[in-house]
Amino acid sequence: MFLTNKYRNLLLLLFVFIILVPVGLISNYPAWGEWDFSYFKQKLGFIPDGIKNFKQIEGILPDYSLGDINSIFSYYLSAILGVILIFAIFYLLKVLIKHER
Amino acid sequence: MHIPDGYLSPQTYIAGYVIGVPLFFYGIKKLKSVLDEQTLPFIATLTALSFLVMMINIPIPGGTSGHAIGAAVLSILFNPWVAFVCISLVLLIQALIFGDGGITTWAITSLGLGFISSFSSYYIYKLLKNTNKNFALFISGWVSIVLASIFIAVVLGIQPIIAHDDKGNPLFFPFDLKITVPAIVGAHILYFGIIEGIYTLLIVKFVEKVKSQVGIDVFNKQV
Repeated sequence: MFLTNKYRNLLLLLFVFIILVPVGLISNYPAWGEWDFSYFKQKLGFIPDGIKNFKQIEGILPDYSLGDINSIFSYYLSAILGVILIFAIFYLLKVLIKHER
Repeated sequence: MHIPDGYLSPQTYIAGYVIGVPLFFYGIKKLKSVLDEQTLPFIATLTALSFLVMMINIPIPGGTSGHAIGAAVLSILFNPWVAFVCISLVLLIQALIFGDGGITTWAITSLGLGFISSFSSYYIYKLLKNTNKNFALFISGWVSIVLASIFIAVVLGIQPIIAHDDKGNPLFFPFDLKITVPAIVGAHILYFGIIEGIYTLLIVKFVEKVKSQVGIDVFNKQV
């Protein structure tokens, strides 16, 4: 359904954004608030207990990176994985709807 | 604006789940009524685009960076419930697979980036669309992310009041409203709001063109 000519421009749009994602790697600046623990230590002299003691979930590709593998490559890999997952979820949901009807 | 785990007190994130989860399931019901052969490619593509656009961090003066959300596009083209569920889904994938944003904080982040931005953009667009369409799209995007940033700034900024130890040291996010509001909201008014506005304008226009090529007259716009 999706791969028919009619939807070609949607795929093109998706493709352009996938190509663009490494732009997000240009800056080393974190989002405001999403700092390393050292930032709190430096600013406050301590790390708040709740932040220090929470065991963070890292995920499969923590911070969209994969160990020592080239950051642009792993960013692309993350982008493609995310897109595939999102499409899979919607297709599953559609199958579910069909069954319900 | 992806709040990490450990930043919010349990009082805050439990309240977030209590409010957010019923809204999320109601939104899924709404999404199911819209999702079919014709709309799936559009909804999935735009949700994927939200995921991708959140990876494109743009640096701004002051040593921080940020990105667009893409909620307004989904909200204007479909309806705010669909947009809310789609953005929440993106946030869940980011938290579980990429460690971007927390699990405990997921509901609060979804309410801000998903619910508030979707509903605000929907109604602002409805109000302004008969003036100048391009203007209405841009402003809807801008307002959506600015309001989401206000919500996140307030939630973070009240943490030192909600939870601190005997000595008065904050247990969770340590900076108060005097710091969070100017830093977060200011950056969204000046920079990320503009990015969201331009993204909303360009993508809605593009998708409307594709939609007419595909031959779909209207998306289900029931709220």
